[in-house]
Amino acid sequence: MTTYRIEHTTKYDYEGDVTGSYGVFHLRPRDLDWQTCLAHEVVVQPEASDLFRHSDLYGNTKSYFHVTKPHTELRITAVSMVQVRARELDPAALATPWEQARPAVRPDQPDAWQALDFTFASPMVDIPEEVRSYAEVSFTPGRPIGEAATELMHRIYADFTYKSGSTTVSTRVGDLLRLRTGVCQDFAHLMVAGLRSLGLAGRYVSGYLATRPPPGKPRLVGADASHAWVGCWIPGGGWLYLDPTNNRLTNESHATVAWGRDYSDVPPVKGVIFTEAKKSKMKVSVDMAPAPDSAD
Amino acid sequence: MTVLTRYLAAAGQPNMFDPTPVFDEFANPDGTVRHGWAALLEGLDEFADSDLQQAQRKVARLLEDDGVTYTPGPATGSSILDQQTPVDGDRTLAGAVPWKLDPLPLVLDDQQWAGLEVGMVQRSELLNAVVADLYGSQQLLRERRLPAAAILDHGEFLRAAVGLKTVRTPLFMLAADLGRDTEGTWKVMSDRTQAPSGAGFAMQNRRVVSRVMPEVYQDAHLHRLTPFFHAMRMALVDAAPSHVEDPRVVVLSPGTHSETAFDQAFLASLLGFPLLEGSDLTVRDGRVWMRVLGKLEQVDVILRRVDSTWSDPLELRPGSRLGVAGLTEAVRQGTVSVVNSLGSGVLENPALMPFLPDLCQYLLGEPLRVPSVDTWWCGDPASLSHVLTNLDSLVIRPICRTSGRSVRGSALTRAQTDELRAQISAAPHKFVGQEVLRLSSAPTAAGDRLVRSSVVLRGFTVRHGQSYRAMVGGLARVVDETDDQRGALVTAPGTGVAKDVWVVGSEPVSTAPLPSVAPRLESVELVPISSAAYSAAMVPRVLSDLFWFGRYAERAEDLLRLVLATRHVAVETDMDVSSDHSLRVLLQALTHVGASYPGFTDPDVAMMPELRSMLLDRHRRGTAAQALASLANAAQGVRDQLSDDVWMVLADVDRALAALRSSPQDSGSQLADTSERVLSGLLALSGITSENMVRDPGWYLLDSGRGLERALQLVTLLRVTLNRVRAPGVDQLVTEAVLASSESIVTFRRRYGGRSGPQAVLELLVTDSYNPRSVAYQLQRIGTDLNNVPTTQQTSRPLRVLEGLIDGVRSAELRSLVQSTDGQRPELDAFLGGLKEQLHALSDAIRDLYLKQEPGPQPLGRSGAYSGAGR
Repeated sequence: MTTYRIEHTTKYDYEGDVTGSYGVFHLRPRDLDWQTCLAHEVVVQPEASDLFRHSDLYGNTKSYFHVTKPHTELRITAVSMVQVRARELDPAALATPWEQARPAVRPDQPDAWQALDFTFASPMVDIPEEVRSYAEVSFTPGRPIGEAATELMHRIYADFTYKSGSTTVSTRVGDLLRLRTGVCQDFAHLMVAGLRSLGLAGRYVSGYLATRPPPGKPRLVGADASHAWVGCWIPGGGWLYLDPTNNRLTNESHATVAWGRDYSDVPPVKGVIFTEAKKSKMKVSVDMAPAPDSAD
Repeated sequence: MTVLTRYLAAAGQPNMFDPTPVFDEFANPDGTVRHGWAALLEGLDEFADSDLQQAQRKVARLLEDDGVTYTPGPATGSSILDQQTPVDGDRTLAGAVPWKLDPLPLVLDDQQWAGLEVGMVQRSELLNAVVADLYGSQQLLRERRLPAAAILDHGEFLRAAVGLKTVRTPLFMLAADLGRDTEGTWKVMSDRTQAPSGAGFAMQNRRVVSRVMPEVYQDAHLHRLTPFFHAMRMALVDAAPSHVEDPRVVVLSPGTHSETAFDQAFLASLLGFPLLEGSDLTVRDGRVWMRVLGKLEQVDVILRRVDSTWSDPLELRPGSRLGVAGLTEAVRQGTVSVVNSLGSGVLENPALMPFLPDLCQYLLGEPLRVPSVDTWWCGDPASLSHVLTNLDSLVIRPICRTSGRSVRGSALTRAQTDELRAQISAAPHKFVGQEVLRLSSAPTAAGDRLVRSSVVLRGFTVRHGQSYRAMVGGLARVVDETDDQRGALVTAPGTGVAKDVWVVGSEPVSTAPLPSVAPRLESVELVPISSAAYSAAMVPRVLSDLFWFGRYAERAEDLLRLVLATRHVAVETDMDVSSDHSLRVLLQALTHVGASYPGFTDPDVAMMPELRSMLLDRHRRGTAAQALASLANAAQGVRDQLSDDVWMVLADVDRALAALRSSPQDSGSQLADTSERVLSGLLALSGITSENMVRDPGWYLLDSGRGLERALQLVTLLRVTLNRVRAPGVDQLVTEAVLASSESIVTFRRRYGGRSGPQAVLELLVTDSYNPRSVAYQLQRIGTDLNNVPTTQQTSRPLRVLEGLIDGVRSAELRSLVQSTDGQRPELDAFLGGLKEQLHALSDAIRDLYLKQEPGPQPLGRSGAYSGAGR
């Protein structure tokens, strides 16, 4: 069990006055069986005249803000205290043949209809034929779902190179397969597409990765920024979470913020601005470190 | 034999090739007339072939006069098999086409109508319950009463709209497209729940038909449409958040280029609610406001005609310019009601149809009254195999309309069929197969006879208290029997020919709450308009359209006057276009005034073609046609503010231009005739705006636009004609033409007698503040106009610029200005040039103060990087 303090700052600079900024953010870590959000605060500068919060259909905390004061810099700072615990998965559930882990064939499972939502193409995850060819190699007939999904993750880790700036939000899954580079969001999208191409439910997860590794352990890729990984539905066993960027199942270093079908459902910050200005710059920084008095 | 009896006789003929003939709306199989049609048959008992043609012409003329159009959308023709590029931010569409209407209505007896009406009301309640569940507790999905795949993978299922607890009645209005099978049973072919269109068209059809066949209309005992619109207005007011006392209702339109722009504008003015676009609204404090003359006024109810996904660039579709950023959140906060609710388009889903009978039993506890056409959802394995086996006899529809239009299996080539099979097999849950209804036929005018055309009926319901109320009537459309695409594209709005729908009783129908005086027939059908709602629509975009309406009307008018004056000189001088002769000077003036360069500044240009182009070429800058097209466009944007007469005038102007266009060999007489007709139309327009429009801020801006344009045109004209000294004979003719085109020649002759000369011209046309054509007069007029706009302050920039202009004109030393050196008048040129510059500054100042619209929305962080991917 580890308690972290997470500070996530997103800053926009504009060439000229912005007369109105409307934004939506997903920044509050979720409360889960293995995670508790102890404290959470978001500061918007200039101060937002409206700040509303609600729970979206996936149970994520989604906030809306509106800054009416003209500004050339907008800064959104979220500070969270979150406790992450180890998570046990039922080995029997993980041993389910992957064919039986497809929500469409499991009407016996009460949550299958909800998992079905994660089996279709979504705004940023299309499912081209190539992705199926890529993914199905790991899904030999009858193979346990846990094993097959994990192997798909290993292959993505091995076949793709992490390279920031090599992609944008408009990069499609097919492009990634040709480029063979990307960032964590891309790898998550790719893996989700692979799962979905086989009728499995693949969920995109947005969160953080501990910046400073425990003593003696290497620093993980995707720290210093928002991180993203993948959930795969396991009938009767909840969701198996896999981090293709770091080639591992998620653990106590991962703090979950929000999940959805893809990035577009749960971007940390998105918005609409009204301005005559033509240019803007964005800068993001994330720090996630064990809280001084709570490490055990 | 009349056209109707002939149709009747033909319908009674047995057809050995067709053992199960289609149901005919008019004729029983034994050749007698169906219930309800008797009045029509009697009323038209002497209706001969030529009357039929005349009726069609009259319908077309009335529709043209009212400017009734439909704008085919990009998807209207493209089926699921066409190469699809997803419809993106750019929704600019092809031009508007005239609305087509058959003079003969579809007549339905009110006894049988009653069953249909109850069925539509029931369907509305059912669909409302379904959509409430899908965005609420989702029990139907959880209990598998509806297949989750058909909902969750539907493009109009909006996840941001799930759990909007403030939505009380998600389905405010329903339109259902119905067809009748060979037995005469009505079946629903598709439901329209996104933002149902057509109610306005239905009313327009009624108005036209009632004018073309007034006697029949009066004797037919037919149910009026008006109560439906009364109910709709009340329902809109009722839809407001519960704490609001005197709610403000607006109609949100995608703009004048949308497919059903006419329908939207007509409906808005029928209801008396302002027609707005997304940029007219803004969200603050979690509420929706409209920008009215520099301040904000809260909006409580939005009748949404923008598709849900496009309604909010923040939460729904990034980049949409048709919506209002933050609208979803305002709904979530419960401060505004959007109807139909966001996401209600998910009901336009044919995959629901097979499940409706069970759902109706489950949700409403009663059997479904009006069936849907037989539908097989391919997400179900048995249905899929049925569809694949019977492709030839089915219509294949995608479950979501944005995926493309339906195709009819029998109309496909072998290769297309294979392609379709592959598409269905790849994602079966996204398709349905539907039976092809053999639609009923109805007599429809085609030239001098009546033919049997297949008919589809769009019925409407609107929320009424705890239930729904149907329009007793509707929008029918007939499609050509021979069109093989029939059935596939049959629900494309605007395709085919529309028909009014008459629901008639055997007794006179009570019209109790209507006014007893009916000066004009169609006014019986008008809903009284609340003037308060009208004057409130003074948003910058509307003011801007009105200002430019004034400017373009004046621009076209001035240009035509100059053309006519020039034509006069051409006749006087036997077309002598040699350089520095009066005709050449005036032709060049025409080019300068319109800024349609090079035009006549090119010495080699031929006169007639260039003049024709000045009148007809709407794609060329500075032409009369362009000014008129821009005028019509500005008018479209404020259709709800203008009287119907405006459209009549514009239609007349179009006809005049068409006459010139169709005589390419014209040597000048048609050109003069057209110019005169267009000019008289514009004069009528000026009369309408000055005599019939309420003096509200919109009118004052329109009038200031007119004054400003007149001053600008005049200054330009004077500058290019009086800048030089020419031979006395030439100057004489040019001066007279300038005065004639400025409507001041009579005054000039009376006041100055034979004495003429530039100074007198300038006196009359520039400094005389009593001459309504002078520059000085326009400046005063603009001042009066602006002072009547409530938000104008004495220190505001337009008034300061105006002050400078008035001073400049007042203190002008005309005597010294007209002095010439070497045949040039440099001082005059500088003076007039200065005026022109200041007038432009005035226009800019007016724009900045009254007409300025917010910049469009842009995404936060445009770099395309993942927010948070960092590094």
